[in-house]
Amino acid sequence: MPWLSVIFLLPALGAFGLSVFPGEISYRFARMWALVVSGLTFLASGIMAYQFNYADGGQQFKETINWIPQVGISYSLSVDGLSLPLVLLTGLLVVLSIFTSWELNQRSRLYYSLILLLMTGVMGAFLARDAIIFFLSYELELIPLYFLISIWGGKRREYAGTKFLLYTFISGISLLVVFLSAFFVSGSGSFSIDALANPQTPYPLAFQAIALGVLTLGFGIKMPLVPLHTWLPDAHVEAPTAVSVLLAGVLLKLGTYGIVRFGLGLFPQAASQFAWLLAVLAVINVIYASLAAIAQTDMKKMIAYSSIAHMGYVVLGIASLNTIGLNGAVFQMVSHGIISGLLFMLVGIVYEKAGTRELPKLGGLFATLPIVGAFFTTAAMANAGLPGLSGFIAEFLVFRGGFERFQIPTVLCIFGVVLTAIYMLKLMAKAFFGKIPDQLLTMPRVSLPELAPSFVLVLVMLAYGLAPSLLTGMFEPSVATLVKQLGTETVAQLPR
Amino acid sequence: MESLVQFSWLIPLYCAIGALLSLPWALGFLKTQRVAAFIGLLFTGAGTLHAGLILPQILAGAGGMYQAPWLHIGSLTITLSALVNPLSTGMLVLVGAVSFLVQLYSLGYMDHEPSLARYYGLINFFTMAMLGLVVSNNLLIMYGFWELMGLSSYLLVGFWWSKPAASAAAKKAFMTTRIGDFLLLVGIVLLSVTAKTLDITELGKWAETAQLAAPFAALLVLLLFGGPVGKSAQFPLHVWLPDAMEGPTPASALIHAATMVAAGVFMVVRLEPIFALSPIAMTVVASIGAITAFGSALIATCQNDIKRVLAYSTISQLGYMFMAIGAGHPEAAIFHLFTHAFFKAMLFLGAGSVIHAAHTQDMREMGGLAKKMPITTLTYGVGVLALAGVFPFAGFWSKDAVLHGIEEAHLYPIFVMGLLTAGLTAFYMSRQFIMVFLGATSEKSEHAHESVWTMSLPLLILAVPSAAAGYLGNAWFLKEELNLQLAGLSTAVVFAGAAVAVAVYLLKWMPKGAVEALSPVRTALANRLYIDGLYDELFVKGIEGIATVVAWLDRNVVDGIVNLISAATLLGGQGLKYLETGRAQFYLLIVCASVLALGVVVGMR
Repeated sequence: MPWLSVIFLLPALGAFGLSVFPGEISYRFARMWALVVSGLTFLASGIMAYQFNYADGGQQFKETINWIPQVGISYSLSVDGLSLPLVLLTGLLVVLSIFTSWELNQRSRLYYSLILLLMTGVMGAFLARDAIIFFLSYELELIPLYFLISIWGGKRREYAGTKFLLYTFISGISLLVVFLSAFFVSGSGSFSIDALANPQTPYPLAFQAIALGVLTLGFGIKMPLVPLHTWLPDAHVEAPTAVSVLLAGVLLKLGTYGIVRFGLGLFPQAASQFAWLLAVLAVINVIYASLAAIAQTDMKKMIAYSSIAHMGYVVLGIASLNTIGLNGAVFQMVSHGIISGLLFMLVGIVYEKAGTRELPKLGGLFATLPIVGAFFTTAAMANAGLPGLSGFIAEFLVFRGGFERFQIPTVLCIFGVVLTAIYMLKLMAKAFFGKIPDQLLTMPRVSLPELAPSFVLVLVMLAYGLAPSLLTGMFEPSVATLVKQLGTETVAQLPR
Repeated sequence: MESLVQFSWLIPLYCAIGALLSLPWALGFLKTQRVAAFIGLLFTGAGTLHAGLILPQILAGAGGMYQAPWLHIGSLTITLSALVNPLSTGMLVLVGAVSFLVQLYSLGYMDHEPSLARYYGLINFFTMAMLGLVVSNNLLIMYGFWELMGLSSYLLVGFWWSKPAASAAAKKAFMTTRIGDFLLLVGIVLLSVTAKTLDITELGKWAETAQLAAPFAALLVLLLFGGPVGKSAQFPLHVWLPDAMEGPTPASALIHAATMVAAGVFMVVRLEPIFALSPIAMTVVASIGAITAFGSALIATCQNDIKRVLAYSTISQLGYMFMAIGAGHPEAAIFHLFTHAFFKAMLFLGAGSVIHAAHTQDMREMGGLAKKMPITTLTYGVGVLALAGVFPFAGFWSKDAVLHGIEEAHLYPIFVMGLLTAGLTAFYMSRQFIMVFLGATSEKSEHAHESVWTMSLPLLILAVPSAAAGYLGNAWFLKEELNLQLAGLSTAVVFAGAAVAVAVYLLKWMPKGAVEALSPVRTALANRLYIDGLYDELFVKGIEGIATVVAWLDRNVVDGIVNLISAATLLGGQGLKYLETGRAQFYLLIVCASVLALGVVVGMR
């Protein structure tokens, strides 16, 4: 069974089927359709993960069909330890996000088609072994997201949608520029990543430096890196909950995944020379976005900035270029997906029930939403790096690896855990502690389908926090392969 | 019995199960809250019993290391390892027993609490974390339990979450300790890179041969010390503990008096070989202990809230323990940790009994309770004598061991501060005892009556070690000859302190001039020497201010530029008819231009 093609194309087929399904259909039918299609896709990625060889650090399940041989483009998919956890995360979060929009009934056919199309785009980007397939998937994911924000969004949805589109558009162009120029400079006549990232024929260093710079601009918009980040808080604030979950949970990972796959893969020499710059950018992300988060009064915006700050840890892990740090970066990608996904889900529930996300208008929600409160406490603590939950070990690996190469930036990033605690506790104090305002005393009950996805994510967060080797076992060999190719392993030594 | 020792590393799990099982009640799925309380009691009791049964064998040399692999990445190996030795087993028994008694006491004290299950769940969760911490033999795992204790402290301080003061205190407790934990985490990362291990036994071996430059060693040790400074509420991170008294009183007795706050001392003792790498840092440890002990004893003399007096007293006594460690006598610190846990837990529970009966925490509204509450008064009296360090009560022996250690290390200024602190301690405890239990009855104490047996029994049980643990501890473990000279000196100081309190508060023997002269000092002390206010102005408002500026810049400058560019592009686009020609060509144009540019760059090389 070509599992990767199934994972890649099944959601798109599902989207197509849903949109051409004859006659009027109820939102329940559309929802069930999307649930089944995404569930089957998730199942397929589970089977693929079951058959995956965890001792092998190379590409597996390779599928290659010549597509446009005249220009060296092939339909080529494969998976390795770096993409496997992200594929699984995408599958899980898409399924769960459908639960979070349980009662959505306006233009539901289009809504669920777009969600499924989005899934194909993201899966394709993670599975692509051809730069053009990656690029097309990367662009494909953008279109449904734009519509999801501008149709089902909040008050300023058009502004946010357009902003998102323009930014990601620049991001896409930058990638295409890099891929095309790498294609010409390498002279390999193929867009296959294997051909573009051939360690035997490295690119000239000047080219590497410029290309890495352009690539960082492209992927930096997606991650996002400060100061390219302002589209994200706007998009989050306007987007419906499910879209926020996917945006923070998986779409941002395309940026960091891209830097690892293409930045480190294609331009290793430039990456090792300019890693310090990435470390500096990581510090800016962590400190700047955390500070901005502290001053927010909209819960969702606060979480959005928090999400930006925590992507900074991924960047620091990448910049370390050593085994521990890169393992930490991948761990943090998954952990961030779970934690920020969970936080957005819970904020969504609060907004749904209380009718506002403004912290000054909230308070005492433990009284009316006790279980949501318990989950929120757990998620807030996970975000603040509490041991026993997935965020801690991810951050520790990043710090431990980062410290070997960049001591001062790493210490500054560690200070992020203090800043995170400040805004998470502020949010808890203002929303859940204190006296409940009278108008919030009566609110609709939280239904089981609304709570179920959060519960699942809490369990995953706990599992990876208590037994991190469950997760590291997936990607450790692939990270080892990567570090070997880079030749940048640091040996722990006394800092001077 | 053999298997009990073999499975001793499981002891923390008893309370983990207790905490988990409380969830159905705590989350509201099941109604009869008291069931969860009994579950908690049962599991904590079982764990404590387990620990108690193995203690004789561990003291006889059984036990050892229990390990399981946890995480291995590159050169980093983290092993789940538990060290079961006399110290850790003693701590298991101590923490388990105090937790059990506190839970028994809470049956009475928290009788009408609608969220009883949440309370017991949190107490069990805390106990699990603390028990896990004391057996951990890997610094990272220990840090994990350390943080979990912090979480349970946060949730217990904020237990009555709808009270604004409780919410603020919970936040303050978590944030203040987090600053210490930030330093500790940096220290752990630094240590892990330097020593290439985080296994505490291996760290000890490494420290024996490590050659570190003095400034580097001092930096490393002081970073590690940051965590204990926060957790054990030492100056300058002491501010959270008095506020933490907003939590339920039995929780304060367990967490903020007997056990969690002492975990900082315990951790430093476990890391003693590393701390010994830097004599400078050890002096800093002793000095911070001395400043804290003396300063908070001073503040305690002018507090009127019965629990806050005890809170400052706890800070002060923890300072003693750090003085001993800094002087190179960890055994004295641990001795004081044990005795203090007994009598301070009892004092807090006694205070709870008083609060429960008099419905106030303000000592000025109390008085004459001795007649109404004989058991509470008797046990509180034992606690006062033990804390003040009167022969032969527990505190006498452990405090003298501390002072003796400091004297041996020739740290004379610190010794003098320790001695003065002993006098102050006797003063504020006598003052408290007089204000609460002696004198005329007040309006509030008029209707007070003795508490129920679930509350008074734990007091009576704790009174035994509060009286005898010092003598026995010295006879069995420390085996030190009593230094009569030192004992005489400290006893004289203690009686002087107590005499002043009796004169001022019982005999109302106050020269007018002295009252007036001391009034500014008293105001400063009553306001905690303005340290909390200073932190609020400096750090809390400082960070808020910076954050506001950053958020403003983000919205107006960073995003402003973006919007400006897009506006300009749109305007320019109108002229150039970009938008009309469609996206594909725009793409192509940029693509071609960029490739050209790159080609030129590469060609020029």
